[in-house]
Amino acid sequence: MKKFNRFVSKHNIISDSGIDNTRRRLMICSIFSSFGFLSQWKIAVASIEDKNDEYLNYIVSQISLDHSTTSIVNTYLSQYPEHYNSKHLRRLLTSTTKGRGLEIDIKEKIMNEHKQGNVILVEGWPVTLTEARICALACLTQSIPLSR
Amino acid sequence: MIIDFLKENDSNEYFTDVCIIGAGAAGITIANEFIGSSTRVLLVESGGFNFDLDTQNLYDVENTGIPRQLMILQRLRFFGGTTNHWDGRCAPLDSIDFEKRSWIPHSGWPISREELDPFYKRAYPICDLGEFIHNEKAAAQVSLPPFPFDTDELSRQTWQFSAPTRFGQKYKKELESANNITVLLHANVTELLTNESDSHMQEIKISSLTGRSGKVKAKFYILACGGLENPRLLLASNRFRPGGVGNPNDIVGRFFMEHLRTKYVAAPLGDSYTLNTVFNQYDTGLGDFLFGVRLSDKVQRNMKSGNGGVMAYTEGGGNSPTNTAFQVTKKLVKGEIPENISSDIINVLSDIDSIIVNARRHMLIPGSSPVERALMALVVETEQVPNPDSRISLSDSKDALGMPKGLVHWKLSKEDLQTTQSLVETLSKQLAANLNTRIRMPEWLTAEWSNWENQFRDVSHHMGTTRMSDDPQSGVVNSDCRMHAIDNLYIAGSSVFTTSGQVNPTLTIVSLALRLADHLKLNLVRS
Repeated sequence: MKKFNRFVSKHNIISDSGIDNTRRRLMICSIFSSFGFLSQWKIAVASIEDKNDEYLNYIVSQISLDHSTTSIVNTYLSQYPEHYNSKHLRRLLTSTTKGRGLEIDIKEKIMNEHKQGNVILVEGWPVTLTEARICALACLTQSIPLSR
Repeated sequence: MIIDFLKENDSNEYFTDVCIIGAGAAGITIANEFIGSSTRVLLVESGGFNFDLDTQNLYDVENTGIPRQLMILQRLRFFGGTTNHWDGRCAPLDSIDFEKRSWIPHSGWPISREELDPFYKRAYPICDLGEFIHNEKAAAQVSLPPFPFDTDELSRQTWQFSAPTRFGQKYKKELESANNITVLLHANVTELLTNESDSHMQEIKISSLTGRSGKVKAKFYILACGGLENPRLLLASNRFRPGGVGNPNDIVGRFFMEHLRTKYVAAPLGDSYTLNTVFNQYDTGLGDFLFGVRLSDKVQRNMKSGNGGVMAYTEGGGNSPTNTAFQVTKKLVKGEIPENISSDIINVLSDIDSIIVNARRHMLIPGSSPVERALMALVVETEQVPNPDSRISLSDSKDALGMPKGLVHWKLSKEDLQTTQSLVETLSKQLAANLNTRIRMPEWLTAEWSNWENQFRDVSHHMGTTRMSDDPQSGVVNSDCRMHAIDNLYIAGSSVFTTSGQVNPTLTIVSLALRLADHLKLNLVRS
């Protein structure tokens, strides 16, 4: 442990990183915590489509519409301007469920997108296309002003 | 026997079988190997047994390349050399580091990892490293959970910590009491003199900072002064040849390499327990291990990248409540009273919740460090591609002994940026997909930056300046560490590294020194 402490103080690892911890925590928590929490959510509805819609609505309602989210959405829409359309985003998010339910599908999509590098970088943080689409849908649904 | 050149009055000339120049990890290891033999060994050291500023100033260099850390203190110039302040983090080079890799210019050692393995094994006890076990065996030793990443992409990397062994302190008595070993302190080698055809060393000139001078004649000479000083000494011995001794192909001093360090912030978004076990330090009966990851051989081949490793440290170090609690408990268990007990108690009480959580985690894996990781700092260290334009030459200014100072021109190649990009990109994907952890990618790594070179930090590992190769056109020493041009001059230390790999060099320096000692013993018998 002494060696570890010496190493940290010698190389000034933390204080040298140049990033404000609180800001970083807030950003990360606000963007991503909802996804982990959502995996526990159970929805009981009749059809799979209704289930998916309800689940998607729920996810979208959980997104905090703050600076971090709009940063994600602005970055995403600058790369995919044709996706500035909530119906189109809904289709992209629900098109590949294969009857398994959106909850499983979204988790798997996010994991695969990370593996394949299908990410955008927002202030340096990797955000998958699916995550960015959910944020975009949240902004569009609630008419948050975005830069186009 | 120990002689102080400043005090001894009998003689200014020394005759010996083997003259080792420099009493650092390499020089002391070689001298140790001759203890009890019939070979007379003279170990010539510039400093004494303690740090001395005037002597240290002889290490002053000028830098015209990428900005570096304060170079004058990167090495230490007294008995024991730089082991007087090393951290002790050790690991052998990987097999791929020795290979000729078509995508890495000037790569390919004339020896393989397998040839070096027996010497690595012997080097472990010399460096007080416990047993020679690595990676998955070491992971099993501390009951780590299965490696969570795709092994085609990332491999487990294990480092073992030395005490850290101070070679000067540890081996002083043995050398002092050996009848066939003489340690000559405060003797600075100022010139290497060869015969007319520059094929055989005849003598070396020595002098002290007080103005005393002398010479040493030996059958064999070993330069063991480190990656900056070895080439400087060869280049500065240029009275008869402008390129210095043993340098017909202008390779001495070229291919100067470092390990390239960069830092990243990682944010675990879910349960960080597995992440904590992948990157952690474990003090066990078999050794003190640090676990991390490195770029797999497969990715290196596919992405045409160099080697690179990653380790992580937490915010939980220093004076954090968890760390304070851990240190206080350790002392109390030993029956010691902590120095600042009252402030320590206040610190511990300030965050008792996190201490309980971390204590629980700590107990799940006995021997592990206490962890509290809202965020992690990841340290990435990559190999530097050999580059002939990255070099040590001579400055116009001189040191206190009248020798030209070293002139460092550290230069990176595009491949170096690519190695770090490949590693961080692979790590980012694997962490996000498998452990729900994200890394913040700095802009210089993802966009075209003209000054990307300045983002890398050196780590005081000086390598490659008298590189090993079977071809005299591309290397200074052969696979026996003997200079191509000179039949009785050998070189020990990291200056002979053909490529740098991604791990700290000391273990390999000691292993190569053992190999050289074996070779010399055989040669002496023959001669």
